[in-house]
Amino acid sequence: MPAEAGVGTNLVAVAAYLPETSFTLEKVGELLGLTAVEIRRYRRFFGLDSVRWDPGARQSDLLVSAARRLTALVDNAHRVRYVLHARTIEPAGPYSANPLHEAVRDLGLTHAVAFAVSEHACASGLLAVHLAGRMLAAIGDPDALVLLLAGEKTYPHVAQHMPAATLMGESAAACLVGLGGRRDRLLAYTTRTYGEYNGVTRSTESAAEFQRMYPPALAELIRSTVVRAGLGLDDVRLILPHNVNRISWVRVCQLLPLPLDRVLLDNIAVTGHSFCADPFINYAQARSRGLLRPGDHYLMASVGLGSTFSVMLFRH
Amino acid sequence: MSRLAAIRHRPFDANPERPAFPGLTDLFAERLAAYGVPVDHDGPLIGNRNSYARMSEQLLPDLTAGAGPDLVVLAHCLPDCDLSTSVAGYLEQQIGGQPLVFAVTEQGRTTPFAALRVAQDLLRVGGRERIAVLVLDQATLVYADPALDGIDRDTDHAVGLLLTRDAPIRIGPVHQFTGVDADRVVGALEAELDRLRLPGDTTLIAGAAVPAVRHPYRRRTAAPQRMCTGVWVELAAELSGPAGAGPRTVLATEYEPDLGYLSLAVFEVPPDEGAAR
Repeated sequence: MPAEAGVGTNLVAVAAYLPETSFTLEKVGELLGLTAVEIRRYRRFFGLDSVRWDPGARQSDLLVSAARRLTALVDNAHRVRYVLHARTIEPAGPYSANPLHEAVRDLGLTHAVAFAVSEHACASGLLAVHLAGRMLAAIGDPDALVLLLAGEKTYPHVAQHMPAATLMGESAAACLVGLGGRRDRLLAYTTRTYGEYNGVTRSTESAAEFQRMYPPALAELIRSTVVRAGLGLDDVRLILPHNVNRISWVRVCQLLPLPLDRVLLDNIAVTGHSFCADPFINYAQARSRGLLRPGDHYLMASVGLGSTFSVMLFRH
Repeated sequence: MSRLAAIRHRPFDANPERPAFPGLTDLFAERLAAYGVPVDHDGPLIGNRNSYARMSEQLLPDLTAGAGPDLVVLAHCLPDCDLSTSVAGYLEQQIGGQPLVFAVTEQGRTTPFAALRVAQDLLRVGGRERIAVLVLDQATLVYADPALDGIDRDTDHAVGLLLTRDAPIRIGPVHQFTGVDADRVVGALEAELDRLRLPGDTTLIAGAAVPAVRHPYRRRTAAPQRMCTGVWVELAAELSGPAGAGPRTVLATEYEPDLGYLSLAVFEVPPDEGAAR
């Protein structure tokens, strides 16, 4: 799918919630049934070390915790027209639970229309940014905002069946999306689904082949996104990745080629892979560390099992 | 401006392949534990075992008449029974053309209205030309939920709407109202009907929880045992009926009492036109 011209979508504010409780790889390994050899391999080869979980929190608690850290929401709640929850795995609880709407009530946003978007797995967060911009453009109100929420509970069953070597975390993110603002303007969104890898569990025969095609496919999407925007890789200040593991990004950078220090990988060993929230969590860290200067171009990149590859290009 | 090029309803009996969906019970057991909701680990899997991938694959060719869409929006409120397959990936393989595929969920019975709104927006400002909105209900579930008592377990349903910019039937903007408590539904709906000033011979296609209103419109009420497909099954039937000599207006409306969402969409049908033909 070609890059789509933006409509002036921009990120108004982004916040991340990292649960205080950190679980070591050894502790997680016990729960997931990882062997000592696998634990050593996860740490040395994949760059995984610990993960943040919030054992006492339910799905809605994660979303509320992220949104409460979004200080800009306090004075702009009345401008929020939609609340979107970007989901990796669609069912989050029993039918009656409605965790998204529970979060919306807790946040005092019941005037906004809320729903979840899914089917791009962990790339659904970038899809949600794209949809938010289009929905705002259709409204035509320059003051309108969309609140995007990302983050999910993690469970042993899912983690054990993930074909990727990763640790799933429960960090969450909240992002206010607007239209026409100068800050963090969306320049391009490209997404491609490789349907031949539609199985999303480790048991599928295509899992090994997916591991092989993943680095070149992601590298190509990154390259084409940048080129179609009239830029070169040298113009990209930073990639805000999904935190699946370190080695996959090493391979992507070798293929591009791009210096590895242009990818913000620090959170992989801290948060693990937090479903759709990773690029936003990494954005928050990049801002707090002053890694983005006005005018810098940066990418958000995510891959969802099933298999959807997505890249967004922004100008800070 | 979005227009309706086609609408199709397809019921699904038991899937003859009877897939086992390994891991489904375990996945839900983890997700439901925090809510104190048990799953049935030992009993047979009850339901027709129609995954959303299967239902979408079978509905799309008839809906699109072989001319593939560039966007497919799935709308469902009940969870899929096959969580080991990406519907987006599966459809990308089956229908070709690399359409963008995603799902809109978690708005109960009004979920399809949210999906239709998103589709309209992407038709208007998203560069999309031919959008399939697939409204899906499957009832192969591994747990009991009081909100789902009485749902149709015998037949799963899929309704497809094909949106373009130049088809005969005009779809008005979707309106979604939030925070509408049960005691305010009548007032909110009547106020909106007053504002819309629809012709007297309008047909009102209403979800089962939508109360009677003072407006004298002919009413078709959706079957209560269907979740988010109810209104759209009735709309498909209405639009496939005998064409009239003059234009006609159809208003689809649904109320989700658990969330307080009231939704409406108007379909303006020109003379001698049936979308389902």
